[in-house]
Amino acid sequence: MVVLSRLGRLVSVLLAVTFLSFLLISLLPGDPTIAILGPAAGDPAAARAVRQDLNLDEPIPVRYVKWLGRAVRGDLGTSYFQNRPVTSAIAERLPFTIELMGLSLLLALALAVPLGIGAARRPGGWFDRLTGGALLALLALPAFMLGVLLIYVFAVKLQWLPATGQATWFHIGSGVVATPVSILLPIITLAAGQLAVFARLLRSEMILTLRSDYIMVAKAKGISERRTLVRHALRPSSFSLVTVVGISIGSLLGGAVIVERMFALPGMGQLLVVSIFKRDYLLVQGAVVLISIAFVMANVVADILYGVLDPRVRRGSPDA
Amino acid sequence: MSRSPQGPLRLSGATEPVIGMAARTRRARGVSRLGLCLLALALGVAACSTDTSNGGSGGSGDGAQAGGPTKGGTLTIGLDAETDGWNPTSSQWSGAAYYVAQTVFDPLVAFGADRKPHPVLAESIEPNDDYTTWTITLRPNITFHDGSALDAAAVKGQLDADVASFLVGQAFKSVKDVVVVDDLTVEVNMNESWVAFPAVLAAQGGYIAAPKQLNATGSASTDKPIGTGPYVFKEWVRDDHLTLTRNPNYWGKNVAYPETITFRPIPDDQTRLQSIQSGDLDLTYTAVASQILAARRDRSLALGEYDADSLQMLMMNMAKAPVDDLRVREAIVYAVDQQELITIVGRDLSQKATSPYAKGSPWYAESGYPTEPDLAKARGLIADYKKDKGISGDLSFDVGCTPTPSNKQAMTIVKTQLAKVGIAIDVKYTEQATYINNALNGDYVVNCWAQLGASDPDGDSVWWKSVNANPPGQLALNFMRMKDPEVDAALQVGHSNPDPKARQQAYATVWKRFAAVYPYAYFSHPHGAVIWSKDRVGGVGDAKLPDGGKPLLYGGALPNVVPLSSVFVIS
Repeated sequence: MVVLSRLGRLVSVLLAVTFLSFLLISLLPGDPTIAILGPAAGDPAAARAVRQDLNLDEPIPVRYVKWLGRAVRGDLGTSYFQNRPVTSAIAERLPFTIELMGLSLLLALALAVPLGIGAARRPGGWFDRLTGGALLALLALPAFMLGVLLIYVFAVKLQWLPATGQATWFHIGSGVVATPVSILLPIITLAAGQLAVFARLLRSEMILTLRSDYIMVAKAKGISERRTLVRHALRPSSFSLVTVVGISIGSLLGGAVIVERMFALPGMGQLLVVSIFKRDYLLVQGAVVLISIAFVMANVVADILYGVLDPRVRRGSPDA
Repeated sequence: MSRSPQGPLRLSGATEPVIGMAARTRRARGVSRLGLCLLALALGVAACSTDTSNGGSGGSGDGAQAGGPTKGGTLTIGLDAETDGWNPTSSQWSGAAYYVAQTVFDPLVAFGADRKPHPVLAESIEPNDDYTTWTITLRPNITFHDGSALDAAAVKGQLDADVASFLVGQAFKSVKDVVVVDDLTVEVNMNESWVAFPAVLAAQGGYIAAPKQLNATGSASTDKPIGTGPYVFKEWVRDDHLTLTRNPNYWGKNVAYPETITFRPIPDDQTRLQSIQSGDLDLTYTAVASQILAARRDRSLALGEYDADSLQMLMMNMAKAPVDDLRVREAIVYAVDQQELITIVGRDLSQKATSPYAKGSPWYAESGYPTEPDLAKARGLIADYKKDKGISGDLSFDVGCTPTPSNKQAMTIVKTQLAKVGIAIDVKYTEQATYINNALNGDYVVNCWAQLGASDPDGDSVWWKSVNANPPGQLALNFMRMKDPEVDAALQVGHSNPDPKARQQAYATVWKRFAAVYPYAYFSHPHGAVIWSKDRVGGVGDAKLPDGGKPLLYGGALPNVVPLSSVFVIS
């Protein structure tokens, strides 16, 4: 039931987002045929073909419905600049961005959980103060600054890692992915901001949880500190973290745009930026659809996980 | 059959020492070169062209000298932009595209250090007496990468496609038809005398693709280039890399040393420099002054620097108030302090401009354009204009620009300079596509701009002809909407008169008219550098054309594109 309602929300969000993006693109000043074709718009045949292809002579709602009709059948149109279907262009880039975001998220969580637990263990202690300061500094440091710093230290000076995503690329279907080591710097850059948020959030939740009566009971029963922290305190402290991880997909996507541009990586962020600059309308629209789906789906998964972690949510308990 | 003293009649031999391999000097700045570079190069008429006038430095990297050219290895080159496709008749090629194109394809001709077209795929290109027919004779026994023969039919197919292409076809408007004479000979008939035809064949439309590629549909015609060049296409992942492998059957001798060449589009200049410092790249280029200065400080890098013929400037829409009035345009010219811009933005690397060509270029001529500001004169002109029009307060209008850091810096300075003479500008930053389209449509008053400097000025005439000056609201390649009969007459002489002196004089007249009617307010000629690793790369600047001549390095329409035929990887 929860899944169905979430899917319903997904559809309504997608309709709203795609219509709004369609509207915004349509309201941009100037003739789209000139924007797309440039000087070649002076060629009447080429201009006519673009107008027909994009249904530019019809009202915006009609154009949107026609685009939507094709989109639900998997036809997102053809990119004028890449001269191939939008779905092919996206399919090529998607695996890479999934890899980049996935590994960044994993890295952020892998570091945030022990740091958050460690800091919550002795609030105000040296470890808490140290990690608190470091994480705040990390949070305050913009991704592009961190990226430049990492490139300078690890690529230019130490020459341990490539300055860009130059590495071995593997084809998966029509898409590309890289070896994780080869894109370590972009992963660290993208993970840094999330790591700080996750660790600070988990710390706060853990401190509250550790003050609960059942933790006191556990301690009184002589259960080891590690077992108490990991088994009894971590799970109930993770609810907010799971929600924030779901929401962070949005900021990760935003970060991916910067990181992919900075490290010259062939992902969705790079594709989107280039498409916007080139006014590649259909490709922008296709990318927006995909990003919307990814964002909403991530939050659906977070909601489902929330239920897994807290049985009260599954049962619809009023205490939940 | 008479022959032009200029002599692209029989294209062979003709060598001159390649332009200076000297010190790293000069100046640069970064007002959006991007704008017209892409567009013009796509048109095949080469804007953003440049000149090595003051001694583009370069030559072999130091490390290259030790062991001489060796075969093998992978050469990785960082490009400033990705290209939309590799079809020479329809794709939009910038300088980055020509780096790739010179390896996969061969052009019919290429510019030599003597700034004349030299034969490459063509064995000769000869005109008839009145330059209304050009006969192209091809080298024998050359094959495309797919095994098909380079013959007259293939060249006709390409030239027909060039003419039919709205984009590339702008440069071929004088072509009437193309006729196959025999297996290796085609005749190109013109609608009028055209003395600079070979120059066009050194640009995009003259890079010959296999019929299989040209006749393909969809992405097959753009994504998988098939040429006759020294490298064969292997793989292209857009926005990441394009990989080529050496062509074992290449017709040229002593070229193509690396086993593999990988091109990587990295738009950010700083990242490209860091990538070459970290060893990710072997060779790249930049026109950003701060990056050139940083590269100079790195002893592991070698630089080939150039002063470009192209211009950074304000372009004025002569069909829109208030710059439809000569007094306002002249006031802007006298208010702009080129030296201040060069010092602050160009870090004293670029040089002042008085015409589309820099000093040292064969097309340079004194124009009378003022290089020093005259604020009193500018104030007087503005006061006079405002009195006529009944305007009180500052004269105000918008200036369009792309939001690059160097553009923003330049426009902040220009805004202050213009304010001193009573002109209040509001700078509107827009992304590239909109910005260019506004210029095409005449939907602007003044734009910051970077353009011009074709290897032969005839290539730039499309931007200046009155016939291309449609009113605002209609597409026009004459962005300024300048209608000047004197310019038109001079351009016609440059297009059709075979006498080199007459042509030079004709273009000098054009530069003088620009210094009289002021469609542009010049900032400077930009300065750039090709950068490579001394330890990993050798042979830069040692290339030779098939006729033994030296190619044009760091000059012409593509100053940042060095010939790769001599470049090798140091093992």
